[in-house]
Amino acid sequence: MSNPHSYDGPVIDVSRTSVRYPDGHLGIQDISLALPRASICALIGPNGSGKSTLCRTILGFTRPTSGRVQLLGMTVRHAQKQNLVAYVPQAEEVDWQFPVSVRDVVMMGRQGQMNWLRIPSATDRRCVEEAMARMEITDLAQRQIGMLSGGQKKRVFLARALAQGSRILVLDEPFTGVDAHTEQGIMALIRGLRDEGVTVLIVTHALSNVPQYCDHVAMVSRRLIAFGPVSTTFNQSHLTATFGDVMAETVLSAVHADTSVPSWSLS
Amino acid sequence: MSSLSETLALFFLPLTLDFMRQALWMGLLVGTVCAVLSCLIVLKGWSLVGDAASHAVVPGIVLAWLAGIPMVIGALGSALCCLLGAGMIERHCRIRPDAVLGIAFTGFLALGMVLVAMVPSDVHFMHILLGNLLGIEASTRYQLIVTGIVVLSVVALKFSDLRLYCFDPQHAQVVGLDTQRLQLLLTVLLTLATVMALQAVGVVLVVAMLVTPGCTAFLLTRRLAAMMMVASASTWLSVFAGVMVSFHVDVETGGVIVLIQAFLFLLAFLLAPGRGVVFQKRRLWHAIRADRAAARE
Ligand SMILES: Nc1ncnc2c1ncn2[C@@H]1O[C@H](COP(=O)(O)OP(=O)(O)OP(=O)(O)O)[C@@H](O)[C@H]1O
Ligand SMILES: [Mg+2]
Repeated sequence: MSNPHSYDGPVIDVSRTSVRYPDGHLGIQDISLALPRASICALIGPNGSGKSTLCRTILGFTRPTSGRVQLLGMTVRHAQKQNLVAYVPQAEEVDWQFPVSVRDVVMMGRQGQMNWLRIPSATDRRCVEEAMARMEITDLAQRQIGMLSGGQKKRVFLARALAQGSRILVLDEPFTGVDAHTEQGIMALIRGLRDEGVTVLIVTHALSNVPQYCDHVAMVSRRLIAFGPVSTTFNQSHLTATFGDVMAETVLSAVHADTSVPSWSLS
Repeated sequence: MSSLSETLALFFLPLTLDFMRQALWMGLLVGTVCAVLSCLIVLKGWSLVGDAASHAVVPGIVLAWLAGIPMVIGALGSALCCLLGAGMIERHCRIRPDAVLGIAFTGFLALGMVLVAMVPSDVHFMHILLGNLLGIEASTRYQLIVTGIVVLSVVALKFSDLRLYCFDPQHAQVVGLDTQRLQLLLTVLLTLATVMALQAVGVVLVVAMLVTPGCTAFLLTRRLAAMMMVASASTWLSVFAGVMVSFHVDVETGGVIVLIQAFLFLLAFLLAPGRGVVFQKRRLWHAIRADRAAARE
């Protein structure tokens, strides 16, 4: 088996993958992507274009009807067993009344790495405290999770993914319902992780942020419209093919307004 | 003075009798297992699964008796057949899961009733339908003790994984846990708890043992471990009271136990600090009054 630390092929490798739901609905069709180590890829497309489906396929929740997904050269299940993947879903479908505290939930990120009795080690505790501090939820640690606001809940689940310390991070719309301050925080954090060697796939509708924060972009509309480095791929013709004329215009003008801010650099 | 102590002595008379003490110990063991499992079941939303398991064990118990194998094994076998079978059907058609489960467990119960009618009549099976803590045979007792210890140990060892599975199975899968195995584990634990509860309260009331303590404790606590303890304590109270009352007044032990559990739930529903109805209404009322006072100034 390949060692995840010395592996130098594509970290997320989706090849010719299609998904049909049990009721015959098409989710995605014939999508191929290869994301290198230490990069951030934006996954964009209109509602119902199959972004979440692609994420769920990469996480192994939906089985591809054809094609295959490999993570760090392994099957999805194998990568999960080695704790190489973290995921923040579009909407958490959990019971908010469940009797667990914020700290308990963040600790769940460490679950796969604890000993068989699941007693947290000093490392586990440190990772949890760090993740909570980075998401600024340390003062909420003792709260029952139902007693939080929507944005705070989102940050708890981001902290959980962070505490996991995995090589791959998949975020499905992490910015919906969070304030600008948190959004900035999340983006800074993701870039920090990228610099530590993590591969990040991020679904977003905040198109104007894409050139600023991401290295690669994948545009989908059931099929893959375009995939490549942001500098060459994020252009008028691809946006038009994905979203239609009007959208592409507004996005690009917003981007040009944004790029005057010297806060970004493509590494 | 002496009349009071006499009354007390009379009330606690059952505790001096061997068979009553034994019934009480069995009741406490069964109650603890059910209380601990009830927390997981309530949180997972599996109340109906508990109900299904309690009905689906009947044919297994009859067949086990015919074949001369331990009752627990037969019960476990038939309940798992029912639950896993229902799961398979559910995955292959569009009927809602609760309806499929309803068909499956009533089918199993009916099979059990037919089997009971076919085997040479024996008092045996009335125990299953009504439960009788006072009449548990020695062989059954050992099965229950072993089962109880196994269930409680497994829950203690697997506490964290079971909690994660109940809370967020998707995340459990992402961090590499085997969720299918955890689901099977929880199903088996639930079935074993059902078999134990049968002895105490009978088929019809099992679901109460597997749901009520968890709900009561849910209203009173904010951590799973604490919830399990409160659920156990409430069950001990009702088992103790149930055994005592049914000794003095000639009524079914199981009925009294469940009745007291329901009463405790009602108390928690009304009076629980934080989540109880009275508390919430009072807090709301105070807040509104404060608002009005502020508006007047
Ligand atoms: N469980 C399901 N069963 C059947 N069809 C589904 C299911 N989930 C999604 N689909 C279909 O698959 C397509 C892709 O859905 P998906 O959720 O991946 O879209 P998305 O790009 O994430 O959209 P959004 O931006 O709204 O989140 C949609 O057309 C949807 O109708
Ligand atoms: Mg989506």
